Amino acid sequence: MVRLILSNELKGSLRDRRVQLLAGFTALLLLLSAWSGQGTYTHLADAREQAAAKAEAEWDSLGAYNPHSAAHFGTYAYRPLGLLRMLDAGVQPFTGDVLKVEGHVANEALYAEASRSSSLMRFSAFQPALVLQAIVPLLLIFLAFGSIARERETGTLKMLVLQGASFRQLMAGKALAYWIISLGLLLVTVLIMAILYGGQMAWDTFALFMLAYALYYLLAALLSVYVSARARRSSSALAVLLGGWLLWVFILPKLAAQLGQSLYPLPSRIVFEEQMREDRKKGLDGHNPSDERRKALEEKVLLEYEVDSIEQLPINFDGIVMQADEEYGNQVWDKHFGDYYQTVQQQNRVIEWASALAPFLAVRNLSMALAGTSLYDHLHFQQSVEDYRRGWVKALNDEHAYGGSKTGEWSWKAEAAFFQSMEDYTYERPGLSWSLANRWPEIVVLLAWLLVAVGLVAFSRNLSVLDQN
Amino acid sequence: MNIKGILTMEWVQLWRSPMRWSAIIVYLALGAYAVFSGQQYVQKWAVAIDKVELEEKEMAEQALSWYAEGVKGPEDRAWVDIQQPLWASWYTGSYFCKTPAPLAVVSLGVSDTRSNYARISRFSSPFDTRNKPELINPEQLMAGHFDLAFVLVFLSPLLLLLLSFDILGYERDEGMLPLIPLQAGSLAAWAGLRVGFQWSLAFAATAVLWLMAAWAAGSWGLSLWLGLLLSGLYLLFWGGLILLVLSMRQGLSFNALTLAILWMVVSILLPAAANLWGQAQYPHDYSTEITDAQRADRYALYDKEAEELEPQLFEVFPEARHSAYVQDTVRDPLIDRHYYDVAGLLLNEAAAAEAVATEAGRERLARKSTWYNPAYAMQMGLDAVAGNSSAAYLAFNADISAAVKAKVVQLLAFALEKEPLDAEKFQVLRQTVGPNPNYAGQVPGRSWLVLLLYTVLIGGIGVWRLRKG
Repeated sequence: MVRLILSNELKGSLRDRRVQLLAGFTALLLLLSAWSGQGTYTHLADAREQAAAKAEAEWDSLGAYNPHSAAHFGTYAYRPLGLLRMLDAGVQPFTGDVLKVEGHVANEALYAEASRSSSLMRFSAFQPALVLQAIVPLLLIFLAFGSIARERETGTLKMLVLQGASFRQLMAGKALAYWIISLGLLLVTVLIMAILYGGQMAWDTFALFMLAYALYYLLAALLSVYVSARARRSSSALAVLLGGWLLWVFILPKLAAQLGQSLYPLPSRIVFEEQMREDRKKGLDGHNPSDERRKALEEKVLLEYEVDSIEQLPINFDGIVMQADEEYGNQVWDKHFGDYYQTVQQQNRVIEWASALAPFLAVRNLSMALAGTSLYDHLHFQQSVEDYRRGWVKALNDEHAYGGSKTGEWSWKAEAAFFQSMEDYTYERPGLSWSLANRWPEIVVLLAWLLVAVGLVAFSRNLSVLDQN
Repeated sequence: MNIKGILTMEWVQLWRSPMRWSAIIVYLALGAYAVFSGQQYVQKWAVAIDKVELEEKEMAEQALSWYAEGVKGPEDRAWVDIQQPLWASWYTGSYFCKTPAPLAVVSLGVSDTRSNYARISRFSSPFDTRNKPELINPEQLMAGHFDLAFVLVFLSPLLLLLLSFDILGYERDEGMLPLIPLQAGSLAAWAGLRVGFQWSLAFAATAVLWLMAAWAAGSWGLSLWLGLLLSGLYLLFWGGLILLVLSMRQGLSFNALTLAILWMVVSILLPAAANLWGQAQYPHDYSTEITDAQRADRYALYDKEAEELEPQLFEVFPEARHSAYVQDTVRDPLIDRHYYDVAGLLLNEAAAAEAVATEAGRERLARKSTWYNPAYAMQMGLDAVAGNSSAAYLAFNADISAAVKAKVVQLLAFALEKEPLDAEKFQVLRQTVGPNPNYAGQVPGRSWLVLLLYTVLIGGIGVWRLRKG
């Protein structure tokens, strides 16, 4: 019976000119956004490749150079773009994906798109994720708001039940029909990606990406049909569904993010940087200031080389001091950025909790995670660059200390071959399981909502809906 | 026509409708929270600026005390010589700030993606990597701030739609539509009065929010009233759209659906399309022109002799030609350093010009988009009043460039004099960085024009169609 209802509803919907128009319009938006996403992706990927190659070439052509000057000259680490960024840019336009690697300081990502855009950036970006997350569910609402309520208004609901269709079967059949229409739109996305990037695609990640949306649409279809069944009139069903859509898609995400910020505020940058400077100078928690650290290090090195003064050392003590200062700076960075990340994660926990109220948030976060454009991906990249930077600076400081110069010889130059032998930065994106592990609350939320929606439809046989007319 | 009767009926309907009251209360509550969160943000910003200014003042006072005591610097730093322009520069005019405008709470604009204070040193540029925006969770940036502008641009139309969506549609569904012209005389006047009543409710609620914002900001100037007027006009534009939809004389569901689609098109799709157009015309890049100016090109300067940089020197400071130092053959490395600063300044200016041209192009396109993008016309007006538009930050960047140039040139002028820098000159150096502006403006004429034009055009068509019968 469900199959029959599904088939009838599907045929009826697909023959309806309004549905054809709305679904066609949504598909057009999807195509347009994918076209623009592909353009942006291709441009960015080319620009990234050129910029990264330029940075590497500049480093390799340093020639004979003082290692410490080279540490100040620095290099750049560019994050590679994942293919799914074309569908969902996530937080990347707001974080930037290039970091300067240099001595003394662990930098943050530079030149985020948002930092140089017009105020239009405050509005939604036209990308497939907007269509998939906000507009397809709206299409489902348009399809489903009158699904049961209108049958009741016109009196055909009683006839359907008299013909042997249980109310549960009716709801399930209709919801599945709308779901299949939305899957058609997902198929458009799959086809676009297959045509454009079939050979390069990580299909397991993409399949999960599509699965998340498919489940989301099933949820939207089930809830829309359920609301239609409960409402006295189709217009009331529409009002409730549109209200819910607005709340889920536009109001709660902003509110949740704002609430997270209010509950767990971040320090202002000037205070944050001042604290880091103080800790580096005076020592973490006010102990072991830099002068004392230097004195202790000097004594240790003199003892090790069995000499009485720095001048007698066969090595360059400046390099050792700089490396020790770097290592202390790393501890300071770990402490302060650790606190920063912890606060950000507390803020995100608020968003995760809010996703229990708005599954849109769950699917949005899952989508970003699978596209590799989530905040966690950004933090992973930043940490990976920092790990690289530490090894890179140590190599330069060691060359300064043990490469053949003496203390105070700031104009001493290491050979060009040394700089060329240093490894360039490469970024390896964490695996699929890592992405999913970070977003398990969202997976749970999405499945729980789906379970509730299925339950609502499954137990609807007890509703005395027929009497409501 | 019984105007009093129609208005009384609307009032009674409002009084008996918990849904309408709830909508107004929720709107006010969300608006109040938006004002509160905006105020929190602005307070944090103001505290950071105060701290920056205090830091600058303390450094300058310390330097002035050395002049008064006749010493060259702190006891534990023998190498510091405050009478040298290079060292004096270190202790003066370190920051140029953008302070929050009186009505900054209304719209945070792009302030969260830009730095609000810039270091003004010999090496600075508006795109200095040290000029970072405040610490913020990128997920919040992506979701956007829940500020009053969001409430006014996105939610105020929704309130009006919610209050008015059943006008005429209900009567049509109940088969009473033909009676209205008989009873009220004119369908257009009847619908116009009813929409007007709901408009006045939405406007009154919006006015309450503006007054809250003014109270929170302590600002009751002209900008407040112009902002309020703009909000009224924006609501009128939506009232016009409602009349246009009503003029189709369809049922409740059709009207609700069409209004929801219109809201989505105006608030989401048109700005997103404008965004897309902007990205296609001015795609994001990795700012290699800036990184080159700050790194490879700058370091290449150091391979040159100071005399080779004289053309740049004369371009920036033509008076230098006649200075004794330039005509002398004896070199002073401390003075030569200013040659490199000037050449570096020109590099930075050229790179910044390229970056600014791109940003200005994006800004121009965004402004032009208002012709088909009324939601942005509204947002642009609010951003201007709040001083947080991208145009305001472009002006801020131009002023940063001017301040850096003034400082570099002044330092050069003092250096070429070859005389110890005294307290009086130190004060002159301080003044090269002017007072901190807030860049608040008035609502741009284009915002008024676009909204007025659309209101008259769309509302006019709606009324004409309703009158046509």
